[in-house]
Amino acid sequence: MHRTILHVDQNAFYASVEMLARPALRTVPCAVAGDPVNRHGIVLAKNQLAKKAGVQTGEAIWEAKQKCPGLILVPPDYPRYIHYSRLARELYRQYTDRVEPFGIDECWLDLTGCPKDDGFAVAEEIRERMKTEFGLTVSIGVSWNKIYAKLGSDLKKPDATTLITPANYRELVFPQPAKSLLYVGSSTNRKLRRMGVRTIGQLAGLEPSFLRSIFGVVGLSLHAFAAGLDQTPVARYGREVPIKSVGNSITARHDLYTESDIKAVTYMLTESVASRLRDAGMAARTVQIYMRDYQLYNFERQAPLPQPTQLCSEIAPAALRLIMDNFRPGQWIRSLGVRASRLIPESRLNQETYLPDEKQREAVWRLEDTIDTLRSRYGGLAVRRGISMVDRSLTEHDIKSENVIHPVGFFGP
Amino acid sequence: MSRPVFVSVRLEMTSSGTRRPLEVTWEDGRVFEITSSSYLGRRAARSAGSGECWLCRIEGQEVPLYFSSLTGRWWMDGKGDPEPPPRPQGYRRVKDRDYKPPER
Repeated sequence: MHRTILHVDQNAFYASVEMLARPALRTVPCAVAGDPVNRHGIVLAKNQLAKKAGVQTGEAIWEAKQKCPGLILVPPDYPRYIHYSRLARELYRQYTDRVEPFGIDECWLDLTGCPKDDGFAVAEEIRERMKTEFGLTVSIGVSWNKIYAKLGSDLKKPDATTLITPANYRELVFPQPAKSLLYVGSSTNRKLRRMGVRTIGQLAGLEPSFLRSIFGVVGLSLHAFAAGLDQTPVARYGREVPIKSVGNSITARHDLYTESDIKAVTYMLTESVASRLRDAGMAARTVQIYMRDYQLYNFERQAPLPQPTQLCSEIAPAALRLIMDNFRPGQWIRSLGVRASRLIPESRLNQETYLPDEKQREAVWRLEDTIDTLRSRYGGLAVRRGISMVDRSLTEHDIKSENVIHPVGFFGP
Repeated sequence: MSRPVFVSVRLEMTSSGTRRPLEVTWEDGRVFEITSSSYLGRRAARSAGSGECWLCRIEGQEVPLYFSSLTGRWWMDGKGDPEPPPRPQGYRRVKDRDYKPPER
């Protein structure tokens, strides 16, 4: 069946929203950037003038300032971005019920079988309405599958519509570099280049079985993506996705190198993870840690938990042990993350544990649950652990309420 | 050029659930009566921002009045230049080695 799929990408979203609120920013090169004091000092989005000066998303502020000394930096205002993102999705939903967000500023729309199903006409209408109703520009790709639609929205920017049809995809899509395909990251691209594959057309021309022998199952997807054979449906709006893991991470205010600092941050992260596990009604069987040192070398380790749990007092020591086992003295940790995975529903938790210390676990569970209640009433910093007091600059974060779920993967989380 | 002028609005909330602006108070304290208004839905403002928009007739002229549900503020397009852009600030890279942990 022939589908009509749109991919709508809001151009330089954070920067556009800031320029909408303060039109004077349109006349100067400006960028939305994180707070350098908290060491989140990278460029999150930039306007056209900053782009012309060579500023790139993701680079450190000092790099951007070197390229463009007159760069104006604006701190991010997430509630405002979420507000505009939600309004935009409501606008898309006037055309179809299949609206699948991909991050805060991108959405797929499936118009197949909708009253208005002329992809190009609807795309032009959405583009026009976004301008008159919100004062924001979007670039839209129209095609018969999600991958080409996303590629199309990247081809012409800003404020443009690109139509990719079975008649023109060979001219439009095939000459593009393989890297512009979704899920071709730097390491896949490196492997492809070693095989002499530089464009999407070359990738589509390879045998699926050959790609499978190199990349495994992903190889088959890669071939389907490149050749336009992808059948992945656009999810219905508001569909709940099952959680597979719960994690939190933080870039610390300063590098961590003493055990007490590491312990304090680990417990702070794990408290949020455990609390979110309890909210979701899940228990974890594995704990994973993520570390990145000051030279930006990062790695992950994981270990099974002795028993499925949703308690901070059981996850945190396991996480801490993992960290300390892999922590070399002299190493400075820049960011740290804790994640609980291989989840099972808590209903199975109660059946599985016939352990002698069950009574004590029950008491700890009640304690942590009570702390959750206190925190939800009086704020995340109302009740704190003693170890978090060693260095308040590290631990004065309300991790759980600051938590925002970022885009899930294309194949689901 | 135009700049946003935040105004206070006297509003009628009708029994059918619609809002009807009756008068606005300008930043200098002058009060203007709105003789008629029509709701336009969401619009990007000429001055700054975007929000729900009413086209209001004030002293014989049709002027838009905006409301943002994010900030809860009402504003109109005023004459004059918008606020100038901020000046660029210097930036010194803070190195981790400069950091001294607090005394314990």
